[in-house]
Amino acid sequence: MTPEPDDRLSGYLDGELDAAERAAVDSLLAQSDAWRNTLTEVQWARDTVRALPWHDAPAGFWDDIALESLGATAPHRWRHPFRVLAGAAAAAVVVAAFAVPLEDRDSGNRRGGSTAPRSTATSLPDRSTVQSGSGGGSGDDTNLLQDMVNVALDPFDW
Amino acid sequence: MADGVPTWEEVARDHGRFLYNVAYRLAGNDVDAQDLVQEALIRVRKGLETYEPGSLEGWLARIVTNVFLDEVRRKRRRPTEAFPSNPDLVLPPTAAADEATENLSDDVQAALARLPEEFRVAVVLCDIADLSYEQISASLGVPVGTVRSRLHRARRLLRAALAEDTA
Repeated sequence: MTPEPDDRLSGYLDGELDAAERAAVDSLLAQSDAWRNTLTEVQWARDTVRALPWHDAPAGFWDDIALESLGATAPHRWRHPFRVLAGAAAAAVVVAAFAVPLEDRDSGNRRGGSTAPRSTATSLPDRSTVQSGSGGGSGDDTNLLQDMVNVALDPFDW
Repeated sequence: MADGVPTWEEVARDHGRFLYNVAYRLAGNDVDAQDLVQEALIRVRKGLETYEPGSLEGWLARIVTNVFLDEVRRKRRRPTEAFPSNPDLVLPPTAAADEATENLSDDVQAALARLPEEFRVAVVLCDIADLSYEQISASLGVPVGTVRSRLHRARRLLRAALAEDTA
């Protein structure tokens, strides 16, 4: 009685089996429809993924990367645009507080006017208007991302 | 390039497209892919100091995968139910999966994005980044047998999911 088809089939397809394993799988494929059918399925899945077209970055993405590398002495950690704007707003508040003229602090050195805040964030592209490249994913990316983190792994020992 | 070690600019210029493609297939959307690539490039910049010439694209694929998995671990909650051990069980459909898609590429990417992350990583590293099982094993810190098992189950799930989508 032949065993159920198993992951040796993927190893077989990928050329990752040693000679003995390969010979065993060859024998099982010769004997069993189930093994042949599963091989066909797995091969289809593998070939379909391998046939996916390259998905390129949206227009302007690499220009922004290049500008970042030219302008920064140390690379910025890019964050979600909201956080960057929030951080920039907070920085502006702090700078504005020090830019307010202080009366009678020093009669000889009265600060006035505003000081342009030193930028702490790189100008980011507006991703909401960026056109995606070819072969882009389907809509509702937020739900897809939420689904990804909701699916659990098989807890059994592999 | 000095002593086979590329500069950061050379990496971005000559391998950026590869890097982005791997990131997109892992993340499933452009916004997250961009974040992955940006973070990966930060790590590349630091890693080049100790990079030993070899398979550069393999090294890049490992970096972007580690960024992806770090992000997944950061967000992961304890699951409420175990992942079904039956590889024939089709993944639960999402709103995106129910939408009619124009071409097979969209269907495949959607199915890929619905895989559990560890399965998706195995498929992307093997079938998109073209790494060997040994390289994937080293990248993920799991035995080769685990790589093979995850890959096999991922492929069976993809086949089942795509058969369901086209039915």
